[in-house]
Amino acid sequence: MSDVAITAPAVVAVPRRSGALRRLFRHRAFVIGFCIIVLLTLAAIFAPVISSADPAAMKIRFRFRAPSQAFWFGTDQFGRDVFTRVLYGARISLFVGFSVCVTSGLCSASLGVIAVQFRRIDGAIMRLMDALMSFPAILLALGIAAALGPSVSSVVAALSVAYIPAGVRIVRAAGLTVREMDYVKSAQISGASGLRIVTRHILPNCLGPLLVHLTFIFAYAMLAEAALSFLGVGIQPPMASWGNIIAEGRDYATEAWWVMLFPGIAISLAALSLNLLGDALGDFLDPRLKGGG
Amino acid sequence: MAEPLLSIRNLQVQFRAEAGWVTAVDDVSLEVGERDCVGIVGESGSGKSVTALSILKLHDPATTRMPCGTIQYQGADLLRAGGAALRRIRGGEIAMIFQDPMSSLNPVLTIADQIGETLRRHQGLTEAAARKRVVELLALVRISDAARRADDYPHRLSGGMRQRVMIAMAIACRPRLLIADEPTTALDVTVQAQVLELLRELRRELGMSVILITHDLGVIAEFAERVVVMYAGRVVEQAPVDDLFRRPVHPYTMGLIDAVPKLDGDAARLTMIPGRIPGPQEDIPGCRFNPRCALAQASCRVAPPSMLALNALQSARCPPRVAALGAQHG
Amino acid sequence: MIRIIAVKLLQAVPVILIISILAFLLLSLLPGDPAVIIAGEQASPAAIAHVREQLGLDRPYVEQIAIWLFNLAHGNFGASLILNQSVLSAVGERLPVTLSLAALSLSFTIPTGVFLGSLAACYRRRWIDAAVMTIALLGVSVPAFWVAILGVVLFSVRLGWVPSSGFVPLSKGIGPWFASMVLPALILSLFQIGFLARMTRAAMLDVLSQDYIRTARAKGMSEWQTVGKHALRNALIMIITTAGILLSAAIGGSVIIEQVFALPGIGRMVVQAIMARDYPLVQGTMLILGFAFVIINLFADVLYSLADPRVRHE
Repeated sequence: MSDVAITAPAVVAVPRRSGALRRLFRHRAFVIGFCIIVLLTLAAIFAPVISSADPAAMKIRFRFRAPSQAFWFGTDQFGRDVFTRVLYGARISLFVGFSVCVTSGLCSASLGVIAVQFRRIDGAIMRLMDALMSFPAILLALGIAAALGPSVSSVVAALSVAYIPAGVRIVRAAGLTVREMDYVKSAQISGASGLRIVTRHILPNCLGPLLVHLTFIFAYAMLAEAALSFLGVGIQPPMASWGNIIAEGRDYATEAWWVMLFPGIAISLAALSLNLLGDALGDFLDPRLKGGG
Repeated sequence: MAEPLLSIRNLQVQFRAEAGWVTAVDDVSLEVGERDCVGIVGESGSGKSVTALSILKLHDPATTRMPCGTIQYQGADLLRAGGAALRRIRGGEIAMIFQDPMSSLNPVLTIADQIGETLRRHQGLTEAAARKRVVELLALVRISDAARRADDYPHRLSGGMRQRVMIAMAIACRPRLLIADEPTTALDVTVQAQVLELLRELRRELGMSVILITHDLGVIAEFAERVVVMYAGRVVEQAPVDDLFRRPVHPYTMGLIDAVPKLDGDAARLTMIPGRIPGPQEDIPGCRFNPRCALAQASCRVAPPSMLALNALQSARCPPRVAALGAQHG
Repeated sequence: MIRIIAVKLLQAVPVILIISILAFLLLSLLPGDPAVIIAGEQASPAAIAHVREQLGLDRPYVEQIAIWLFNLAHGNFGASLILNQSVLSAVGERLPVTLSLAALSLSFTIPTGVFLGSLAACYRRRWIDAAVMTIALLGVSVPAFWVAILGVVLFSVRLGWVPSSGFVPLSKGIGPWFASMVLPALILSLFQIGFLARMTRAAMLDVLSQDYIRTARAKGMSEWQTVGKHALRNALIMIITTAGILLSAAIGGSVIIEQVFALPGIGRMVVQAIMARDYPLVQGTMLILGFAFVIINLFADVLYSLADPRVRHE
């Protein structure tokens, strides 16, 4: 939940072999991660189908019921069904994670390519990124989210900004290495346009490292969203988010442990699966670091 | 030859690949006598370095196995040796120098530290005694200003100097056998000659045996007494160096010798062996050289040939040629 | 090496300037009139006018930035609206708490993370590797604040081993201080240990495949010497480059941990300031932390240059 791993900016193109996907699915970590995240996504999408309960419906009569057949994850202080709230919380968490991924991914790719292609403003871009990176990501997001006011979109905006610098560094490092390759230089000499070099050579080679990085960002963003919501500057009640369910359950943690236990397990599972996916993709794109050595 | 110092018998080395184990070296046998100098020659991919690394068991045990064969050194099988016994031999009895002196020295340790730890390890010298000996060793490998150089880090030295440091490190404990794996390949031509000359002198002074691995027949001609030619993981010919150049038996050896530029400058005589060396996972029935061989017969594609002796000193893995030459002489 | 440090120092100057301007712009992110937001919707026009004047919001934008930078240059980071104290003194008061938390957690993190990562690299593809990497993966996947709550329930409420919250300053004795900090620091280090173990494993795997490791083995060095001396020294150089990230993550993480354990540190102050709409305090604190991290990263760069002889002798 704290900061972004700087994945090694190894330049590796996405292998385009036909068996690539099959090989990926033979990777145990990938399969486990993939299955968990697909299950969580399906649970989020079909939340109303899986549970007929209303996540916000308060039934004081049923408050603090321990997990049972009727309430799988028990109920909270307002008698709301925790299982249903965790299901609906998955929608928010996954949406925030995915949106941060896409937004910061697009911004990092554009800024990184601009830094590579237009060497004159490279310095300016990188100093700006250095400045943003001087803050721990969670603190930067906290400040921005606080200024924007608590809402889903401000959490997404804050986290996207917080995770852009690391992405830019990765794209830039990969792009600069590719630019020095002989085949790109010869393309340049033979008069290929800047746009063509970017789309044909630089972008495809940045894609692998960026993809691995974004998978980790997905996990970090979900953990950070939970943290922000826990601190009260993220998703506000009564909307259910894994972070704020834990925050609400915190005061009753000793007696009604189930309220805060299950959403925590959900976040951990989601982050675990994405970290597994990221590791597997990293292995796959840069087998040098795989166990083999 | 009396009891050899080192004898490799039927060595097989396999690497773990995605689809199971592949055999990189198969049925390699060779002997190195006391004060002997054996050259192993072959293209890259012929398995010569793999063989050399096996002697000191320097392969990664997680990805390598040696399912059959023995490597006898003074009555003990090195392949079965473990732990302390192996470490006593490594650097103490048998030392090794590698192809790339740039990457073979640890960049964050001083020269004195890297040579000195060998001395401390094997001869139990103190820090101060080891340092004194390091300076002597550096002078022995003709590094000028040795006392000052000892405290340098490897990146401050040129490629030739680094290889000299590697040699100093290898001979530090007076090993009985030195394995030099392509010691001159990464160096400039002029430096190559100096390093070879140094090795030759040290061999004479210290009376050690040497296994020299190279792809360069010129180096072999200058340095080795006996030659082992390897191709695609197998020994294809063994002979004293003069016999090998005068009368190569295996067609591959003939090809190698023809590919060496001659000083008489007749460019037309410089020929190349067509095709390329097969990878270890390629399945070639019969003799592994037959797809590239100008003399290949139908029988060459059937069964893998074994080593046949032409005489007491020369043998080759080519039944048709051994038979033909044997008939001539017999 | 001097040249490298000089370049890094020169690069830090624009970074510090950008951080200052970014911190200034933080206030303009507020939707609507900052004066109204800070004073509160129900505030009287006079109160709003007072806030506006106090923060200089009535002046032109460029002038505001100029005044802001001028004040910073004179060590004036603004004043809190609620604490009746300057930002600098408010941060200074709470810094020992946050720093001691971060330092204690790093003292757990660094030996454990480096050891676990090296262990996994040496025993790669065996069960030790799998076990260590699973623990590390859990460390970076489990939300710290959640573990913190579970930890309080288990160790403070149920077992009563450590106080559940509150800070005991070091001046009251090392025992009570340690008791109040050990659980938060341990929980803070979970993520970091996972992160560092994964970094160390990757670095060690890279180093262990280098030729000079083979040289060390060929010399007859024991596995312990090969890994502990030859490999680890090289891997540590790579790991030093992440020192800044580690420290910054420790301080970032302490924002949340302080909240759970009610430790009166900088993080807790920022969260309270946000809740109380004390934006000048948020702004000033972020700025001070930003400066601190620029300096920390500079130190990490210098340390790196000192550790690597190839850079040291440039």
